[in-house]
Amino acid sequence: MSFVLMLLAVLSGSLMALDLKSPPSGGIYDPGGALNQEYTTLIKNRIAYEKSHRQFELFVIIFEQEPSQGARVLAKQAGESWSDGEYWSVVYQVGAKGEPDCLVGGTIMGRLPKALQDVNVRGARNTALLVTTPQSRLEAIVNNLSDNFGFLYVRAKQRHEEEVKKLEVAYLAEKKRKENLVALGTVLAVILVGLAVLGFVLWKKHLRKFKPMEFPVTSSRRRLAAPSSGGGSVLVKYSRTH
Amino acid sequence: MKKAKEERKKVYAAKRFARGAMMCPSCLYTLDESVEACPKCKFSGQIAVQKFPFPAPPLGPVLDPNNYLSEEEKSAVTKKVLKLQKRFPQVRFYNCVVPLGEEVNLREFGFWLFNASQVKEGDSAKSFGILLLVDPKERMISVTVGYGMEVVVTDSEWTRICQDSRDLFYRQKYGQGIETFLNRTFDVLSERALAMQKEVKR
Repeated sequence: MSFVLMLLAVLSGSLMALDLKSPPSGGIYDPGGALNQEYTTLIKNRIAYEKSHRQFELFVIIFEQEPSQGARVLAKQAGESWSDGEYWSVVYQVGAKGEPDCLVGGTIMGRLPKALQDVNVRGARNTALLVTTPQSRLEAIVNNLSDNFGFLYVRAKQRHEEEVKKLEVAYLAEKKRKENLVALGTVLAVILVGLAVLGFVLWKKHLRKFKPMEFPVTSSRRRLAAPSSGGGSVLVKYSRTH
Repeated sequence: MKKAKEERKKVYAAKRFARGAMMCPSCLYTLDESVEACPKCKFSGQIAVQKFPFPAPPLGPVLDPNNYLSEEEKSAVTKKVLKLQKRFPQVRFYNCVVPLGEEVNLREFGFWLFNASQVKEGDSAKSFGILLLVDPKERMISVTVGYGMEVVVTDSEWTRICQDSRDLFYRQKYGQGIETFLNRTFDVLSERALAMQKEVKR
């Protein structure tokens, strides 16, 4: 009976599904109690530090047994679900004495070259595997990941900011270009309208200039028995002394 | 448009526009309208015909029996005259260069030539006629105009227009002198046409 109860307890523990909706407390999922209090505190402290100082989200998952979909797959799902999506890593292992592994993800992480990510992940893992005890190994891998990716975070952030700035500059340049086009268009429109008005005015002036002009007909001041002209007084001399 | 045509057909009293006195071309005595002869010197159309007892040549854009103008100059003057007549359809421009001598009074000669001469369009066309007479022998210029043109430009204005061409005539550039006269006449007629149209509208 007690055996059955124990078996049930073990089974229920192992069947306790990984809750992907909300991250575990302190970032550590350890239903089997692989980590003692001391290591749990150390790792939680490091996780909290990275989160607050470098926005690097670390999670530790210790599966009691290999999940059906695979530990790595489930670890990845957990990382994507629990994090805010920018910069995270999951350290996982199967069983208390299993070999730890880790993976990284996030939008900022994605800006780093894949090779660089892999090198740092491998480096963090391989260095940690040199440590003998399982709990220390976990702690070591968490520390190594924090150290490596903390530095890379700064680089990634810089790149991100540079890219954002480039986009901003490009956007502003495009905006300015459009504004300039609008301004140019307005100026051209004004000039065209001005030219049209000027052309119209000149045309009217031209018409006025060449329009035949007439004088009112008056009753003639006929005199001296002259039918067409009464003559005039105009006489102008042109000589050297004029 | 119709109103403008009616305005044009209408005959206005000369007094409304007249700005200069009438004078005898012979003695420059100031005349009343209806005199048949100058009260002072008795000059009249009949006296003029007696003084110049030969047929008057027909008036045209250029009358130059002694060829003081070259063919090119005659052609240029004729062209200018036609252009001006397009602008002022009522006006006719006649330019005559003829050596007369000191015994001939140029004003009397102009009076006789203008009245006695025949024109293609008939006598009514001379109403707004302008005759420029140049005597290269005596170095004199005179202007005789038709009754219609009298109220448009005064004798003193014609005198000023002629003075602008004096230098050219003195240098025997008759073609250019006539063209200068025509250009100045164009300016004055343009001004006067506008002014008279405004007066008519009032």
